[in-house]
Amino acid sequence: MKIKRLTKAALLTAVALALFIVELQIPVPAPIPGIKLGLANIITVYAVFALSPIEAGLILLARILLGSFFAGNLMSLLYSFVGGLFCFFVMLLMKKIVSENQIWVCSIIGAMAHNIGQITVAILLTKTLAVVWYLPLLLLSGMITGLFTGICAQITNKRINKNVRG
Amino acid sequence: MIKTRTWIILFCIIFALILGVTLFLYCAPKENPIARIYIDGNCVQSIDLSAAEDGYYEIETPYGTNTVSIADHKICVSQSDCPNHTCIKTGWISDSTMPIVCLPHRLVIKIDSAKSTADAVTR
Repeated sequence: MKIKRLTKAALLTAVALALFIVELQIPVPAPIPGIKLGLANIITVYAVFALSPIEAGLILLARILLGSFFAGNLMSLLYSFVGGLFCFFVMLLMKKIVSENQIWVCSIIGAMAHNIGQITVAILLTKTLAVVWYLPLLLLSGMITGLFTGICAQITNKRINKNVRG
Repeated sequence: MIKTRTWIILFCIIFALILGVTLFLYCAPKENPIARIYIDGNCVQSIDLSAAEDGYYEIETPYGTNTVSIADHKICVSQSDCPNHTCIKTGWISDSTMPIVCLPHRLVIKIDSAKSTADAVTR
């Protein structure tokens, strides 16, 4: 049983990393720092709902660390890390008040928490409060991308529940 | 459990509110705009955009170099050796509330409103 869970976590980490690398190839149309699709977050959202909090947290941490190494951009590590943690804990809380058919709700709120985390890091690093004016734009994009990744995670969750037993 | 319909309405309202705030921020022009360049939170240069002549400044940060251009009372980052070039893609700003940010170099260019146009270029 333990090996089975470990395998599942490893598999999900690999999928999340693959999504992360694929996303690097997609150019971002908006000239705003921090906006992206967040495809790898599909796996985080799914893991929060399907696995235990510790497993989901480990998958998230492994993906953020390895993703930064593979992308060769350690600068973004801090943003991903703080944003990811904000998002993760908010989603754990949200999980308690949403049903299996409302995973997208959790994802949207998680994405917004991620944006708040990112901006917090940006303010601390640049020591300039004016960066906060990017927050509304980040939140708008975060709601849209959060909805998208949330729906993906919800479909993933349903299909896996239907097709995989045990 | 909160109904799905309630969530949809809630998100629509939040989205509309944030959109309103964003539009308001964009449509709030400033009088006598002064561009202030910050590195690591310290203002290294203030440029009065209404009086500034066209030209460019080399801004050396501890993390890399940005070239800031001024033309037609607008300001932009025209060159940068940062990895993502988001600061260049932001383009020209003249009276926007949104700053130009180069996160890798911890550089922020922000537009302030000045009461008088007395101080032209100060270092």
